[in-house]
This record gives sequence, structure tokens and C-alpha cells, in this order.
Amino acid sequence: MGQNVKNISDSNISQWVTFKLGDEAYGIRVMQVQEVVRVPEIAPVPGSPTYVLGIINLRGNVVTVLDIRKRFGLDDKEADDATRIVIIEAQQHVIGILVDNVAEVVELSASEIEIAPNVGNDKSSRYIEGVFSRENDLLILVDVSKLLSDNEWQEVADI
Amino acid sequence: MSSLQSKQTAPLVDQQIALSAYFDSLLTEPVVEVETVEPEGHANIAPPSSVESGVPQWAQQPFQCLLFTIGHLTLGAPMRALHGILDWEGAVTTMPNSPPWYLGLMTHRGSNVRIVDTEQIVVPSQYRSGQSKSSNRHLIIIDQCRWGLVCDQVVSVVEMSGDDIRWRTAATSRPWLAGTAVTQMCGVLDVEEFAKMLESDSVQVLA
Repeated sequence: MGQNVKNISDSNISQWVTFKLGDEAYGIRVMQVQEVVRVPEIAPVPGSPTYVLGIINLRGNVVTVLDIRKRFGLDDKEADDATRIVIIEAQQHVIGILVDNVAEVVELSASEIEIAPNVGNDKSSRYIEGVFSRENDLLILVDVSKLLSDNEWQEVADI
Repeated sequence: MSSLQSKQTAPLVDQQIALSAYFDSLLTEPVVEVETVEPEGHANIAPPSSVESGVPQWAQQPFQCLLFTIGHLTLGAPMRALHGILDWEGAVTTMPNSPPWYLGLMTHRGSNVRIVDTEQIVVPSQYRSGQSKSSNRHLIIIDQCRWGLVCDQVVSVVEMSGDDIRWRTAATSRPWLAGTAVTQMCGVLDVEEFAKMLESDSVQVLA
């Protein structure tokens, strides 16, 4: 193992929901995922922050949908049949994130999760929990509770 | 300085000449010339040799230098500072919100190697090939497999000594450029300094 590879811990197996954005595969903890839904009409909210796509009506509840592509510095993409909204609970808020597709649930041993090495003052390092090396690619593990700063979570709550 | 002046006044006929002029200009950073007055009674003290005073420790003995190209630019790097040279088809995991020079992560021998678009850091924008993720390129692995530098071609390995290189002195910017190989007329990287710069917040993409 290289020096830049450190084990986060050697505790238990964790389950992750994997999804794609562009060419890369990401994972979020299954405990943070409430459900995965097809894309209903997303209503834009005037004056909302740039990282908010809009709101959806989820069985009578209003859920704010985040533009995770913008947060990750990716180009916009038209929604298609595979596009899904992953409904997650983080920081005591229920929000949705729009992803290109949802793949599967995988079980990862904590000892196999490696810290993603930082680059400079990389802003993403706060929400990248680690990476998991698969046969053909790396799975990027995201801590959704850190996708937004405290102030941004408050802004979402106020929408 | 006379060769630099002639290059500056002559029309630049191709990119190779332009890049040579660029590196020449880096190597001739403004250096404050200090007029020295020898104190009486110290006339027999010999000044340090120019090579000994400017040459880094890794070049005190003859060393092997890898020559490689990035776009139209040839560079050298001391072999002892390298941890591998790989063929690279462009496979990389792009990390979110990365700076433009950071292409992403690649697993190599159990390490997550950070892949760097070297061209953006060492080649001015007007001379770039713009092929950072194209296939048939190479990775030069440095710094205990922490970083992989993308290059176009691996040219050769040559034996060099400190005298073969015109070392930079008083380098206030780009400390990763150690000097110029006189025979090959190419820049020579100080790999440790390059890795230090990558680890810091001070990476600058050349305009």
C-alpha cells in the first residue's frame, strides 16, 4: 500500500447505494437513503440558491432537489429514462439529489475503504468519505450530510 | 543573454523555437547583479565554483535523466526520483470539483495515484496540444506513487553530470525547473520540488 492509502477504520461492513453521474460511480450510505424515485415535475423556486434545482411533490410532502452536478463541477445533462431522484435524509432535512442512474447496493468492508488523497485546497475533500477500488474503476463514497455547509443547509430549510 | 536577445528579436518560426525562448526566459529570471569588492587581505580566497554552488545535491554525481515530451516541449527528469513509467490510455476516475490540472485518481500497485495534466502547469496555453485525456500517452510516477505526470512520449534515458546542465540560480518562481540540459536544450525538472508544489496550494496553471 502506498503512503497515501490509509484505512479509515477496521470496523464493520457498510452498505452503500451506488449511482452514476457522468462517467463516474458514486456511493452514499444506505442508511441515509429513504427511497429512489423517477423524476416527477421539478418546480423551480424563484430566488433559490444555485445548488437548488427546485422542489417536487412527494406524496404530499414538498422535497427540495439539489443540483449535485453543479456541486460536483459537472456539466448539465438532460434527464432521460434512467434519471432518478435519490431521496435522502441528512442534517435533519429530507432532500433529493438528481442522478444519472441508480445502479445497486454494495457491501463494503471498512478496511477496503481508502481515504481519497487531497489535492491542494480541494473543496470536495469535505464531502468525499473515501474511495473503494473496484475491478475497473473507483467508487467515490460521498457523505451527503457534508454536501452543503451549515449555512447552506439552513438556506435549504428556509425554501 | 545575447542568444536570448537574438531569439526575442527574430521571428518565431515554429512552436519549438517559441518554447525554447519560453524556457530561456524562465532560466534568465531577473538576477540582481551584485558588484563585489574584494576586501584587502582576502585576495587569495577562491570563490566557490559556479557548478558546486548552483547544483542540487541529487546532481552532485553523474545521474541518469529521462527525456520525455509534453506537446512540443521536451523535458528531463532524474531517473532516481521516478517510481515508474506506465503506458496510459487515459483511464482515470475524475474527482468532483477538481482543479483543471488534476485529472483524477488511478489505482497503481495498491496506491491511489493522483494524475496531473502536466501540460497545463509547464506549457503556456498557446503551445498546448490539448490532449490531456487522449490515449497512447504515458505516466511518469513520482513521489512514492502519490502523483502521476502525464506526458506524450518517452524519448530516451541519457547520462548527465552537473556540468551538462545550466542550473537556475536565485529562482524566485517555478522552483520545479532546475535548469536546462545544454546538449539536449531542454528543461530539467526538480522532481521533489514539483511534488512539493503539487501538494501545496500554489499550483498555477500557465496562461
